[in-house]
Amino acid sequence: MSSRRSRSRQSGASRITDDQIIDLVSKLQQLIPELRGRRPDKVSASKVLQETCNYIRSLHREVDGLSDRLSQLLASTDTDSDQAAIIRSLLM
Amino acid sequence: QKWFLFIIIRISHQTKKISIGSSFFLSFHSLFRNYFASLIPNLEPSPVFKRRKTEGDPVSVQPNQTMKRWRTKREHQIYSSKLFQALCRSRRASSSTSAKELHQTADRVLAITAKGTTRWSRAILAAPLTAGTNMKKHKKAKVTVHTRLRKPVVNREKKKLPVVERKLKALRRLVPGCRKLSCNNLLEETSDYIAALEMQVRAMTAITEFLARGEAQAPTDRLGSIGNM
Repeated sequence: MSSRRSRSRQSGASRITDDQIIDLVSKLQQLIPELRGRRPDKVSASKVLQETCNYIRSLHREVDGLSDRLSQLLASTDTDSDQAAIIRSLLM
Repeated sequence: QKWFLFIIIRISHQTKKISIGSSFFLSFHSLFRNYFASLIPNLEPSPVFKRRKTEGDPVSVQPNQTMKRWRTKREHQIYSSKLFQALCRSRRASSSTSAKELHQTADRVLAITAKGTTRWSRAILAAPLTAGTNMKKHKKAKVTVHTRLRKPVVNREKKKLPVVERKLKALRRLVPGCRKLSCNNLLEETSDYIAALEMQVRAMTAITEFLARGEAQAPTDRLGSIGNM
């Protein structure tokens, strides 16, 4: 508990209170699929933040890979213009 | 579900591209089967701003609403259709589409779909073509200053604070436009950003599978199966 007191003294400089961090961490935990099933008090704040960053990075990588595949697919098909017209007429 | 298939076939008759259309429609049908019932009547060829009235999204996005917002089929439809239009346009403009351009296009369409209610979407739209490396150099200089200030503090108890701070900073770097955001707002932005990214992955996967299937299937097989249906 003494660590919390000294942390709150320092928090004036860092502008982030403990409560905010705890709040942030508990809510983030619900969003991340890996950490959803675990009890909130068993997962440390740094781990939740680390997992959040890792999850966002993995999502970025996935989108990168998908855009790679999509660009290859689009480049390989030249008859896309017909399909594109049909899709657009459907979607609009 | 057969009624919309008839509509599709009627449209194909109009465009007179039955052979290509049919291979395409069946794969389309299997992917967007549940979406089409609401897709055709609702979507109009109107710009983004008109949909603000119909969607009724509140200006401040709370975490619970965030989960629902990016997981509705309607948002998925909107994003998929916009993305496809953007891709076709960019393909027509330049003959070769690199993966990086495509990723940027997808991110921008995602930001547009967010309708400007979140910081990260505005940040993506505001700075479309900046290189990532320049930003990183500036941020590294700032981070070293902060760690120097923390050194004279007591080590054991304060080790936790820099760690959490560092990770918060890393998180801020990952979410676009949130480098100076407070803790609470950062939470909202992060949750919205993660949900939006998940939707982006789902939509792009669907489009990729759909195009790959359209490639692989021969048109004549599909004609026969449509006749059987």
